[in-house]
Amino acid sequence: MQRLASIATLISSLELLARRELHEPGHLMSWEVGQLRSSHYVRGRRGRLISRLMALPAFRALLGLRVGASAALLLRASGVGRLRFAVAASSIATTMRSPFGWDGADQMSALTFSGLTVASWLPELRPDVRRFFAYQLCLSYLASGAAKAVAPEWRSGAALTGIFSTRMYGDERVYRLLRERPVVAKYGSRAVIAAECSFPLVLVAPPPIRRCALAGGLLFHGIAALTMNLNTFFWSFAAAYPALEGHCRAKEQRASPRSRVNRK
Amino acid sequence: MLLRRAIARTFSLGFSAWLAASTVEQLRLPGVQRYRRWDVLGLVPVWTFFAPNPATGDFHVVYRDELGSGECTLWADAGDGPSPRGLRASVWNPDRRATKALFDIASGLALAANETVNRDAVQLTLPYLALLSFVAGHVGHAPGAAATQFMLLTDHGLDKPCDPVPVFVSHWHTL
Repeated sequence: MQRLASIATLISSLELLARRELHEPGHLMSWEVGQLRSSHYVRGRRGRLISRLMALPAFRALLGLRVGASAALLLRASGVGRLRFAVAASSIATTMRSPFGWDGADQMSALTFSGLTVASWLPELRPDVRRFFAYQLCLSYLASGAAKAVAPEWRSGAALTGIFSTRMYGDERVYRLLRERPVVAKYGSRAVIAAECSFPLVLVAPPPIRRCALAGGLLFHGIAALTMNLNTFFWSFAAAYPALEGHCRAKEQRASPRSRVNRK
Repeated sequence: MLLRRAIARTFSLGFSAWLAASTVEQLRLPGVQRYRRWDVLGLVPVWTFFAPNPATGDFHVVYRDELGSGECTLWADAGDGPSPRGLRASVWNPDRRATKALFDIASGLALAANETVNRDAVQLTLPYLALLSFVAGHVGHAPGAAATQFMLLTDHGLDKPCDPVPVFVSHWHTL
């Protein structure tokens, strides 16, 4: 889990450094505008401290820290607890800088490393952390599916075709296919809605079905990475899958007759 | 030992509260959105991607300058719109931040412009200020430009039966 999540934060941080001009004063993700969204960022000693952290040299150092800590975790360096904390804290601090430009992969990464940090400090909480990841993952798919299910454009396939028509997330070949074959768009959309809404059932499904569902999820994110270029979504969401599998297995072991006999 | 147990219990409850807050947030109830401003660390995730109203067109930002003589330049592209992507972007995609930031700003501005009766009040919104800062400070202005104005447009993606449609036009701002 840690390695997959580290790939997500490593790629994300390097991408931010590659487009460092975005954080310059007046640019699209500047702190000068970002700080205006809360008085906590502006007023008093706390505001001054946060502003110093968000100033450009310090912010780039923060990104550098995130790169270093992510790479160290990938290479299985020692001091795992401190490295996880570094990635968690820098992930949260990074997204504080601006309300614009972030996505679900960033949210999942911050959440993942926060949980992993606690699991390092308090190993007895590993089951709680695994459960938290499992439920957040299920919630993410359920919320996304439910929001699509109530939208007529999604049920008809028009939304899917529309998204692929954009330069931001689209792919011309996929768009042409969906436009020429609206049945594919309609039933493809409905399949995505059904899969997302039913994902939480993996928590109670038999292991073979659960693993098929997880493989389906990985395939879904892989296709999204290839066609919509949502590259970090693949790594940040895939990172939570081992936690979900571990949570379900632990539940099954607790419920198994042999474990009940041992407890007696 | 007792302290450690208390700390562990606190964290355990914290995760439960975090999950509960995340669940409530997904319902997007108006009363709940009011408390979103307390989430200064941005810890409560929003998982509704592309739904219920996904983007089915791209945003464009154009601007023009007013010269000292009173003449206006032609509208020019402010840049940082979506650029063509290849297979490499499935792994390495640094441009997505700029694209997403512009999309967030543009959609926020479009929403604010639609919801506000007082057009001047839109100037005080974060998306407006972000776009104004960008246009004023990071695009090339004509020599002798005294003021600038920007316009937000949206198109219909690859389906282009017509030109991009204006969504919002700013006031003139002194450079």
